Amino acid sequence: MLLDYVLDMLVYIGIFAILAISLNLEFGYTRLMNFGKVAFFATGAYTSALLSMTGASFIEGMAAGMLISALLGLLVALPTLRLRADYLAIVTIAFGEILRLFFLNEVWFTNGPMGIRGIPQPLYSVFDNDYMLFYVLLVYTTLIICYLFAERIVNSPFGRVLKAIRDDEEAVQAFGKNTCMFKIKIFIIGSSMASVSGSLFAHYLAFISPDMFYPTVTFSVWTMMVIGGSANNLGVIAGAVLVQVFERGTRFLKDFVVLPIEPSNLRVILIGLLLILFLLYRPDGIIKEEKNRGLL
Amino acid sequence: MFLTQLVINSVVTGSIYVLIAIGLTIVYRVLKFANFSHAELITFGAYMAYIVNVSLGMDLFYGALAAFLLTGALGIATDRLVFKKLRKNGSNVISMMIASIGIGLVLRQSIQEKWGPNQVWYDIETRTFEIFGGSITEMQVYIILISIALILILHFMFTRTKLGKAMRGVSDNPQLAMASGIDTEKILLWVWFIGGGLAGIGGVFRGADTRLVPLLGWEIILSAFAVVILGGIGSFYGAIIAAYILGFAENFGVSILSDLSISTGYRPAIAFMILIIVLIVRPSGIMGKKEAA
Repeated sequence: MLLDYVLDMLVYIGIFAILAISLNLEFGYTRLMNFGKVAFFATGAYTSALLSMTGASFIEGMAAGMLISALLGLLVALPTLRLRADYLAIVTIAFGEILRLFFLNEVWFTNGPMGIRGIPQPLYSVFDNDYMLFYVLLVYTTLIICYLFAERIVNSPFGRVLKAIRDDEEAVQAFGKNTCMFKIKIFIIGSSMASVSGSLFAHYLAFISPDMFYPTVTFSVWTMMVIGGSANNLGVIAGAVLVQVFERGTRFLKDFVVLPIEPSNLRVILIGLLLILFLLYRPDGIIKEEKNRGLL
Repeated sequence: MFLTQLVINSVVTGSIYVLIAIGLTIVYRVLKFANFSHAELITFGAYMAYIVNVSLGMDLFYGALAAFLLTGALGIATDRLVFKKLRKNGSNVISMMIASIGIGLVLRQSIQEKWGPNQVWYDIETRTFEIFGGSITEMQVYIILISIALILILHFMFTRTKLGKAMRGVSDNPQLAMASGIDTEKILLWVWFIGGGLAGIGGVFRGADTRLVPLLGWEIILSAFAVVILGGIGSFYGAIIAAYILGFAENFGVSILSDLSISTGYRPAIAFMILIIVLIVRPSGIMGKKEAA
């Protein structure tokens, strides 16, 4: 029982760490305010789930999710990325909500509020009893790939341009770079990566419904990034560990202790407080960005 | 649905949005960031009026008054506890936006903890009038009239009073305002008080027109942002025009959706469409300055 609980927590940590890294690419390194992270997470989950219900394999579902998320990311990025940062924040937050309404209202397609049940789990028959263990490995292999990919990006010439855009966009433009193009590219990459974690999420739970994709998911990922240390990929993974241990922990705890506050409320209140306190007193997070000045 | 009824509903919706959007836009104008916790200020106001109206059994008018004062005070409190410190730390508007999300989460879930996730209603009489084949409730008449009255008061405040002029001065050029002897921090307090207070009254309107839930403010914050951007960020008159435009767009849009047998659950998508169109066609909004984009 305890082992299952630990493995479950590990899966959640891994899935959210991928989301946090994808947000870090967009915000930590490029300063794009994506307040609609959940939209791309949900796109991955729904694409993967719907396709695998029709017999597609896990890999095919994941790939299709990445593609659709990339297209949606492009669609959101085009009208907003050339504008001020706050417009992107408002548009992405709205986009996430509209997409959730789509999953909720198009019952013929997504089964609406009842959600999708019985999503096939990859290689279930092979691993059977040790399935949780297998899934942990699957999630962490994916996480390592995403981490290495993100590190590769931010340390490449492309990544240096991203950081330069973040620090002084006009200066980068003065060097003749099309900053908008760079921003669109990283937004697409971030959206695809979020989709990957969505696929892992859907196949892990074998059930998804629109109420799993409220904006609180986005802000929980933001909290991971802010407390972990934006623009530091290891930092945001640490942030994902902390927030998830805490989120899962309160779920676990409520079976044993009577809390004076409804645990689901307490969880969100404390996430909000953590976000505010870190912004106020430790804006660089737990682990600072290497060799650069503080950013937030 | 009859045309008259659609027009009445549109004006009511516009009247609910207008105060909320004015509150949002003046904070936006002076402090230069999108305050997402405005959603929860709306909700907070609605529940403060609930205490006065239902728990204390007084008329909703006093509830709205309490909502204005208490939500205004809460606006000031969020500034003192969070935003002022961020300003002192030299944090940028991006940190303030993220912090406003954090404040929103804390407020919303605290409201849910206190009053529960289920919907509750004000204790109000619902007399209905018939005009030109449409119907309007007494409450909706009050909503329209009080909104117009407050818009007029704000108009005079911004144009005729020292406070209003100082507010405009601080938003246009804080250094110059300070040099001419304006106490910037004091003006900011007023901005938060009025911005929050208007959100609170808007929340009471929305609560009286529909019902109270902890997500009350969140449900309409996207529309409020659409109004602010359509009107031009920081534009008082732009927000007024845009609020009624959005009221009409949403009500007529929903009616068209149901004619096309598309779920009316897509109502928020109408504000989103307007938002996107404005950003593509004219990002500075109707009355905004060009450089705003």
